[in-house]
Amino acid sequence: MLKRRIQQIVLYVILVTIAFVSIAPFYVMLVNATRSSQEINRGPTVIPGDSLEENWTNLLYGKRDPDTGLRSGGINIPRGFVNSLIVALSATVLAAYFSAVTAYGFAMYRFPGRGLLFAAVLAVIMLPPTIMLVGLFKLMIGIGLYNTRLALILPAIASPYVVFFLRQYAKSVVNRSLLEAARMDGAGEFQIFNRIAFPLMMPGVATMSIFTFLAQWNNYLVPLTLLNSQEKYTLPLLIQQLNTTTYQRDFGAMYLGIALSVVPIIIAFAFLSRYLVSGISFGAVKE
Amino acid sequence: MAADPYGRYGYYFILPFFLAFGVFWLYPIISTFVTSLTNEDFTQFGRDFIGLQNYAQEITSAGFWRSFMNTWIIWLPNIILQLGTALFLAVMLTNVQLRPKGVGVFRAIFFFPNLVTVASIAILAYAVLDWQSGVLNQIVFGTEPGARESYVFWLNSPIATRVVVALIQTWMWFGYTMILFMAGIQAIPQSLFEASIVDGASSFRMFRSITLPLLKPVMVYVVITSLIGGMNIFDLPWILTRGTGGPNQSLSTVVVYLYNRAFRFYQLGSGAAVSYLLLVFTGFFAALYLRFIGFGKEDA
Repeated sequence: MLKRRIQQIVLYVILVTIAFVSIAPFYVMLVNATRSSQEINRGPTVIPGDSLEENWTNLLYGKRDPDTGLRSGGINIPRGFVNSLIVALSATVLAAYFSAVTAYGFAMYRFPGRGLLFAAVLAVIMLPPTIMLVGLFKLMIGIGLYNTRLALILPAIASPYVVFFLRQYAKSVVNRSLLEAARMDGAGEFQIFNRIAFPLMMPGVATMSIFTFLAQWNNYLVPLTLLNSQEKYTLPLLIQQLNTTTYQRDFGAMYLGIALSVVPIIIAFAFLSRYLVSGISFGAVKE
Repeated sequence: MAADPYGRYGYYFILPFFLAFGVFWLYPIISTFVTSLTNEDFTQFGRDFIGLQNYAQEITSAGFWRSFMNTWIIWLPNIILQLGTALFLAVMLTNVQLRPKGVGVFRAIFFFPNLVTVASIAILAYAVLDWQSGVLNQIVFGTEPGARESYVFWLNSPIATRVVVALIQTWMWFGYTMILFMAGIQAIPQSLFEASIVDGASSFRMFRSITLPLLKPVMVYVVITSLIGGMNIFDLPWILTRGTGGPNQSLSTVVVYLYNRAFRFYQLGSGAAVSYLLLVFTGFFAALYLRFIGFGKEDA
């Protein structure tokens, strides 16, 4: 009994230590976002400072030149935020609807070539994304979508992993006899999907949408390759600029910039962690 | 199975997907391959087919191999550490005898770093590891005036930078892997454990003879997806070094090298060749791993 008690205590010490390592950097980030560069230079603390406003101004409008009194080199974080939101939301909506339609088609109808077409969908899931980078760049230039948000949004219509997940899901939630009954009542096939099947598939679609949104929100390599103007940059492309020369020595503004990009994820996680945790085991563990 | 009288509707349903799939997936994949057989240079008009010359040139180039080795030097310690930590935690959190409390909370906290944008994590690491104002040096060496003498310039050492990136990768992914292992362990029938307790098996014996073998499919999934992801690591080394590849090119991973070739020097042809070489190598090592652990053979 005593042995088990000691084992338990050791386990908790390990768990709490690892938990501390997991979140401490984010706490440091939040505290330092409220402190001036001089304070940060003096050493770490757990108590927030009072330079939040100054850091905000330095971040958005750039550092003030002491000679001229002018500010330059700011980074428009709110605009990056809006850009990221537009891209991630549109892509998520497209991926959700078209993946559900496709998954339903694969799950509910038997047609020649079905197995082969689905195998093609599965095949690309395992391919590294870099395999299409040069081709995608040339394609977007060719069709005039280079440096547009559409270049990031439209490809979401074909989201192989979401289709893969939702096909399984459609099979388990959509009842064939329900389908037959609707046909008897004279409903068209697309009507059946939109009115009956899609609502039934909604929980699965929602789970997948959280992941699609996150993947889009965090995407870096593709926007870096397909965008080249500051006004269209998504948040990660702006955040990345925080370590260029202008901000290099202004750590307060730098921490604030990072915090602005991380806090929305913390808030979203507080509400959605349950779905995320159950959603990620899907691909790896078969019941 | 009789023909489905409504079968043709299947085509209508999957049509939009396959239109987009053809344009945004298949075409770029094929186009990348075709480009890899040419000397296409974005700054010049025209291009010639040069066969496999790009491939030959990359395979014999020191820069390519250096980036290839860098990628492995970052990935290997990370996957070992990550699997070890995740497996230990998963076994402990699902242990029926210790019954730890707050499993859900720990699971969520361990998983959280995985969700944060890599760009943000890279800049955060950049700030924390800074030579003069970084929190890491301040904690390790203190902040007295004399202590500053011994501050380490983490991002200026070829060895330290790679260790740092490997550790950040582990930090970001051990929680994710742990969740997969926990789901895998919970899928194991309890009766197996009960029977072995009756037979007087020790905890370690149960772990070795029941948990580990039955976790093999999850292990395969984790290692293969991590291999694909790890070989394609880009965001972190790229942002940490502002695209330069870092001290002695120590953080020039394959994709950093590829990106520089294709989009900084506009050698689209050789950049495309690098991406196909990466695919071949990744596939090769994935197959090797599957063979090594005897996957696919009939086993318990």
